[in-house]
Amino acid sequence: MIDVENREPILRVKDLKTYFYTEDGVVKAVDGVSFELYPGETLGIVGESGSGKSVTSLSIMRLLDERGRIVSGEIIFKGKDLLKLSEGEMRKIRGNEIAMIFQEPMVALNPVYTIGDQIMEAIILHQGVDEKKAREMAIDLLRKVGIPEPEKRVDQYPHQLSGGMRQRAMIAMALSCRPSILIADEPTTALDVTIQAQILDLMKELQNEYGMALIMITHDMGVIAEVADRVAVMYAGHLVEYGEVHEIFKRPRHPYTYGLLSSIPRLDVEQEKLKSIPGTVPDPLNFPTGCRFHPRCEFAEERCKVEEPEMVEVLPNHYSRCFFWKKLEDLEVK
Amino acid sequence: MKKMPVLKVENLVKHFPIKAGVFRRTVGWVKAVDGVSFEVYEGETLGLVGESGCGKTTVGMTLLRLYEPTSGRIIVGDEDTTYYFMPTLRARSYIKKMYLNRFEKLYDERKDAALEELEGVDRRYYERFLKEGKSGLYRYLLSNISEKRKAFRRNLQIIFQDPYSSLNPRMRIKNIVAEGIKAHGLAQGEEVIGKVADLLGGVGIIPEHMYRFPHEFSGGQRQRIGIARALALQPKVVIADEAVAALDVSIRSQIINLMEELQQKHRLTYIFISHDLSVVKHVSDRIAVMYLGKIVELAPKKELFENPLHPYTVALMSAIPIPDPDKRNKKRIILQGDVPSPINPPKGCRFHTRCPVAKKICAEEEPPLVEVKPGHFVACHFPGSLSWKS
Ligand SMILES: Nc1ncnc2c1ncn2[C@@H]1O[C@H](COP(=O)(O)OP(=O)(O)OP(=O)(O)O)[C@@H](O)[C@H]1O
Ligand SMILES: Nc1ncnc2c1ncn2[C@@H]1O[C@H](COP(=O)(O)OP(=O)(O)OP(=O)(O)O)[C@@H](O)[C@H]1O
Ligand code: SF4
Ligand code: SF4
Ligand SMILES: [Mg+2]
Ligand SMILES: [Mg+2]
Repeated sequence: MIDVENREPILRVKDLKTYFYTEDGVVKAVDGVSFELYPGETLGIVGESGSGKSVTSLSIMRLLDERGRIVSGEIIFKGKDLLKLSEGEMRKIRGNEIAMIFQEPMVALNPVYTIGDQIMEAIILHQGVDEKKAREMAIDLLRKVGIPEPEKRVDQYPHQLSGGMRQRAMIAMALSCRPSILIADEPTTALDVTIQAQILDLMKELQNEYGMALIMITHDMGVIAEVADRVAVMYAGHLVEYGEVHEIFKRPRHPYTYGLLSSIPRLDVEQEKLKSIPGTVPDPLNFPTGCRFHPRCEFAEERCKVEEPEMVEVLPNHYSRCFFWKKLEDLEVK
Repeated sequence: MKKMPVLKVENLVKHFPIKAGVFRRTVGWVKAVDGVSFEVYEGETLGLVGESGCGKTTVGMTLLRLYEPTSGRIIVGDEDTTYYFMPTLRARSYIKKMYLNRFEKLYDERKDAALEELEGVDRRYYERFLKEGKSGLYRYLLSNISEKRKAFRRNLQIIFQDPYSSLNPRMRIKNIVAEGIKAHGLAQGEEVIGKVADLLGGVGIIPEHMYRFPHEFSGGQRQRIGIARALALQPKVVIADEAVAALDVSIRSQIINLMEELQQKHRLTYIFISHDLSVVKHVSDRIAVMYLGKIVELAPKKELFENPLHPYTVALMSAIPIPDPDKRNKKRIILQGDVPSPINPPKGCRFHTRCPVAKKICAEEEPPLVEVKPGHFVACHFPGSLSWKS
């Protein structure tokens, strides 16, 4: 377990706000998000579609498209604010110190170059070795991520690999520079469960070996429970709950987390009827006033409609953005 | 008494041709569904689970005859519907081969006594053959084909995965839901509006919103509309193909609960197709597990989870992440390798290339699906040899 009291975070995101300026209005995709990442740990970021998970990670990498703007906040990595770096300085961090893998490897891999060329390019760029050495290293990496016959695969194009193998190739590419932080945005969502199990297993193994910190982004509570040390739950551009994984799963103190946990069909327990969260995910152009969750919240009171709750520490190192978190004290999640 | 299946599928096969070259010659076949048999009983939910590309959607589409089956028999209630959508000549030759010639031979050998060994449609049709002769049965089967088709379309409905593309964006919700009602003459004029309003109310959509277009609704609401459309014709069997896969977690349980309520209320029978074993476990009475175009195991839910016998079923169960950090270190079976292609499926047992307990015979002989206990079917030479629960 991570001793959060006595360790320096490797990454500290402070009050990050990233907005998109669209024809229809301003999308406050990430609206005041703060969290820390400690060396060697896995932080899980979980939330539904559109809650701002990907925009959070793209903001850290500074890979937003032209409509997106980081309007405020700090992203402190090893003492430096990434938001103050020049594009050139940022390029050195990207791939080298912080690497990212995506849900759909086909987007990240270039279809006209072989897998080997792409991994070698990264190695040559960041480690300054010659081509022959880089090729050897690429083959070793492919072997390491469990691609069979790496000597042959290294000369194949992305479309010649299966989905699971492409994801492995992308992991190999991300690891080629031994980053200290790996951000994985839904790395297994597009994969079958038996392949997902292979990839999660592989990621855990590599994390132990390389000692890197991992940000695992997913909408799957099962994956979070499986890999995360600490968890941040996102809803409508906010973190609504943040804490150690057992705390979040066993003692949720935000109605949204509680609702999510009780609404998933479980393989391991018998459930009569599923609980459900009424209503729908809010429109990002038009977030509800007060607490953004209030129209769907079974614990909401008048105050929730007008006043926006702040993140408060409800238990040691366990934060919730809810006025009435005490109401959840007696509730149990199976 | 034996339960009457509402739907019975025998040896269903669907191969898609692979065309190549200027002359679009067929150079091979995708064996998407390769000999699948199951029964579905009234009021139950049969779950169909398996990984991407194993043929789940193809089973559903072929049942509905949105794809023409390559071979096999599809019996709905007490009628063989296999030939309903075939071109006339093919339908005739199917009937001749499947019934007339076979019955003639049976009669030559055993006369009336042959009835004893027949059941279901075969028995019913043989009785008619005895009474009305070959031409009587032939006439019976080929008569009123367009009404038969219509009834078939009414009785089997489908809910698709993608609530975004399955509703026509240019049609108002009212017309989307009313289309079938009108086509089947289930209501006229003002009645139609009333019926649409009832249906929408029944799935939790405010009836006043019936004049809106699909894009004005959220994903979950669109899925509700898809359900209302499917129920408009009071079908007997509803095939739900990944009906909740595209929905957010918090919306998914709303739709699952709604489908369960409607099932109770209308005594619906569901075939619930999903790649997600947790969802399938929640909704199903019985579960069929598919791998590469075949059913590898089929059993009542409780039995399947307490006593999974096929190594693939066991591996699938063990691979699913459990949303409980205390159960993190449970033993997990990590399968090696990828799912092979259905164009050239492995010889023998199709799972042998990834099976942790495969032996020599597995690469040579294909294991048939056999009933090892009442209601529990498995296709494996060494059932139960892979265990997982610690
Ligand atoms: N390039 C963009 N232009 C405009 N809006 C955007 C852009 N990218 C994201 N958004 C909006 O920002 C919000 C957050 O999106 P984000 O991609 O971070 O969600 P997410 O939590 O990753 O969801 P998912 O689970 O679907 O991946 C959404 O409302 C989305 O529509
Ligand atoms: N119209 C078609 N023409 C050719 N091949 C097809 C067609 N439809 C499906 N296939 C192939 O048949 C196989 C089974 O596909 P199917 O869509 O039935 O799988 P599935 O189990 O529904 O998968 P998923 O979980 O991804 O929806 C796949 O290999 C697929 O590529
Ligand atoms: S602040 Fe109010 S509306 Fe928001 S989660 Fe808490 S109780 Fe619900
Ligand atoms: S038949 Fe052999 S290869 Fe196939 S599942 Fe059984 S043990 Fe494994
Ligand atoms: Mg995303
Ligand atoms: Mg499908």
